[in-house]
Amino acid sequence: MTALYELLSVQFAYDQAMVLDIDEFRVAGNTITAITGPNGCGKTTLLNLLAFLQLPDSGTLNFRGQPVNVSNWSRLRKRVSYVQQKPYLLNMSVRENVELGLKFRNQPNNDRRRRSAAMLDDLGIAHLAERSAGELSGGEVQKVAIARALVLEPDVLILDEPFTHLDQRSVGFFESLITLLRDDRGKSVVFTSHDPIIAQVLSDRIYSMLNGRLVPCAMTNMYSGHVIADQHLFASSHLQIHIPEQIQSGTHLVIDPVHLVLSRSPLQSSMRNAFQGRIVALQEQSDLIKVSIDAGEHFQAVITHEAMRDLDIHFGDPVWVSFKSSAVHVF
Amino acid sequence: MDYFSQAIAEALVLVLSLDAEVYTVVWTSIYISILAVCLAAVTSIPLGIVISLKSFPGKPLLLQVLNTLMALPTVVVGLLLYGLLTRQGPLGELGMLYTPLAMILGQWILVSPIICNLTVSAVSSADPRLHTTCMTLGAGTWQQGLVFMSELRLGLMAAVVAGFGRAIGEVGVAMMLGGNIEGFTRTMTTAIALETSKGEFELALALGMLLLLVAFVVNGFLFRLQRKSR
Repeated sequence: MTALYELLSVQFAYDQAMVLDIDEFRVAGNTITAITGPNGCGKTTLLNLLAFLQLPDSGTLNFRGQPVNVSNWSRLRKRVSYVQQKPYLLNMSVRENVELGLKFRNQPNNDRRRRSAAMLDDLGIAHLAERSAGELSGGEVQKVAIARALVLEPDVLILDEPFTHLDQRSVGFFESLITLLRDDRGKSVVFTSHDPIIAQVLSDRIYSMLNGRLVPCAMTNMYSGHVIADQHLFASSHLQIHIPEQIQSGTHLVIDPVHLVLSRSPLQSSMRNAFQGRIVALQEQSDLIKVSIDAGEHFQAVITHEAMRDLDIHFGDPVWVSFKSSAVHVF
Repeated sequence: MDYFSQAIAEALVLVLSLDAEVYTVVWTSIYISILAVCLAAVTSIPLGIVISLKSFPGKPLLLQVLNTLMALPTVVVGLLLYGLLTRQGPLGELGMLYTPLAMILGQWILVSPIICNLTVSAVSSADPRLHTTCMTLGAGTWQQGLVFMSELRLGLMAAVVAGFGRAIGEVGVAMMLGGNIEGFTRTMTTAIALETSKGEFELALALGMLLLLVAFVVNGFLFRLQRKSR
């Protein structure tokens, strides 16, 4: 099946400073894709490419198998909706803001009214319709911007840090909305988040970004070091971690938190990495528990409430962290 | 001092007596300047938006030229257009010299760089997210332009006000291209110059007062419009 997006050997530079250097990146249709990473790592630039606001300096950007270029990008732009990290609402009413994209598409006035009213109602902000955009709170601005994007019924919804300005209740609502868009409407969603746990919970595929490069996993557990190729090990400052045999070089290692297995005693299993540590933090996040373990290096694992009850773990308890060598990514 | 205060008193009488000659001059000034500024706004605001949003070779040079043209001396514009419109000039057959049309043309040239340059400044200082928002919502070039005009209306209105100030107060173009013909091309500024040279200081002073009043009323109107649209 043709990928929705396909980026091959894509590079992008601002003033000769390389901000994106992606070997390969594919987004399948009808999926939720999350991109995490620190500020300034290139996430927004990648979204700008996916929203067809910029074209790569080199490499290939395909949308549904079609190469994107200056002759078709303004047409393709109408098939995606992009909500910026700090959305800009025009100096007009909320309803007029939501109708704006439809107006650009020359939709008749009554159709615009009907669709914008329905969308505002769906998002629970119908009461804001006649309010001036300048009077809204940060969270309300975010909701209106999402309404303005969704009313266009795009193939893909692209969200840059969508949860930054939302309160906890709204975060829950938008998490459900994103899932609904995929499951019931057959849409694709690509979003960035600095919070790898939210990204992990919501997405079908998670990518981490560091210095413009993409790694196909969350970057919660990332360590610097070097590969000892002949022993198939990665030596970080405090641990030696087993890695797949084919990896010959790299200076960073990441382990997806969902692949960490916690146990009270060493496990009899095929997992080649097992380290004993102590629980240094427990934090509830999006219906999951984030467990921080100090085992020489600092590990973060994600478990369910049920698993936590079964393990009967508490702050300060000793615990074993195990994971397969195939669960690590070295770059 | 007596002379000056007496002149002011007589000027006030002229203003308040609604002297027909005075008000013909005032009306000529106003309609010529308004038409010139409207023409300049229609041409220079879209041009300023395009210049600001597009990248092209020579853009810094063009901006520098526009900046320089803001200080274009009115007599130079008058002189150049006189050369073109005079009977022996290349456009002499049009018979435009010493008509309001020639004055509008001259003031349009004078005002355009001001409105264009201030539009470029307004667009450049706009929130960069505005452009991105227009693009992500699928706006075409014209639609983007209209959105920018709507969002930056305060800055653009300021540009138009500055242009009107330049047009209504200039004397070089009005004198050289209008010829100061009574009841036809005589404006407040050319009449002030003429009446002063004739020794009719009271009439010149009355026109000076009305010139200030017109500028004040027009600015007040635009100021109210700005506050309303804020």
